[in-house]
Amino acid sequence: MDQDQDQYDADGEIAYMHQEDDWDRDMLLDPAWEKQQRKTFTAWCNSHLRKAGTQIDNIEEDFRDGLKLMLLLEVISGERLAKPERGKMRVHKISNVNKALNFITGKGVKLVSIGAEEIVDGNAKMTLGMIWTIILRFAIQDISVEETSAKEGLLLWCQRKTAPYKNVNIQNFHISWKDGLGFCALIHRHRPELIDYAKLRKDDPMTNLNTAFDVAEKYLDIPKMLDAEGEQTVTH
Amino acid sequence: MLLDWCRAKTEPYEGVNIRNFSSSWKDGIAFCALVHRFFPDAFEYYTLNPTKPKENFELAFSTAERLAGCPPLLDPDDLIRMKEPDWKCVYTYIQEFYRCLVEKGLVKTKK
Repeated sequence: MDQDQDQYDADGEIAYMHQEDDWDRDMLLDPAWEKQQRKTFTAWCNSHLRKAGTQIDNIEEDFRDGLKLMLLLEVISGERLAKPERGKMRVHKISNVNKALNFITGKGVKLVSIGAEEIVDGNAKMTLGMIWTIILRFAIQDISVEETSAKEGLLLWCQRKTAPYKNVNIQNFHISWKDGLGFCALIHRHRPELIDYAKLRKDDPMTNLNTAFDVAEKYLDIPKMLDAEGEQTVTH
Repeated sequence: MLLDWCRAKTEPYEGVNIRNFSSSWKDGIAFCALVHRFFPDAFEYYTLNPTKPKENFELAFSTAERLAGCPPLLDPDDLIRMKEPDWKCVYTYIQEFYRCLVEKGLVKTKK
């Protein structure tokens, strides 16, 4: 799919887009994907550039002078970059793009075969590749996969088990259990013959709690560690 | 890392098995599970239908926009038109969703 395409740059001169042979083959293979990526990346850039009071219309063109690129990086990182050159000549554009690229590599993100000259010249594949690298490697550097703590895991388990019970909504380990229905639902979910759940009322927490704890002790070998009175009066 | 994060957050949800950023998201259920994990009151997860991907996408994206401030970067019509979602597009969206959650203080980072 090697093509040279006519492309008019900002000054109305024809510039040719050059294909990079080893560049992201999947983008070259399917034009529909490329279109979708372009659309998604543009939307992403704009969602951030909006905060700096600007937008891009054409992702391949609007980053060429480096100014909006620098703004994008500032918004994402929350840091200020070096002051941009205000001149309009090619040398100023290259300087600005370099400021942006250096900022990225300064954060430890490698930009393989991306050069300021190609960006300023409007190489679409390179520009999209650069934006993609920013999204992939730069934008979320501090991600951590928290260990689901035992508490969170247990809460989730309770939520899953009580999900079919419409009058139970477990959000925490205190208030959600006050009316006693949560305890009853958990027991009923596993041993439906032990509790007549349909007969329980939300506004009778004492009965609910006593029922749950009694049944648990009697049939499930779970000793009473809480008492209904305590549950009722203590606010955790 | 982002994939691991998605898997960890959607682990309790039956019907979701995230193995990549493309085919695993095809029916929209994975997006819904991830959004529901952070906003469980927004909709009923158990009523979702995997054979209705467009509705699932729309629900997930609109909820994420409304409650997390995450911009709707993906177009449900584009997603259902493709055989499977493009992984760079899905990644971009999930990454942005993650960033919005961090901004809202709903997710802790290494910092």
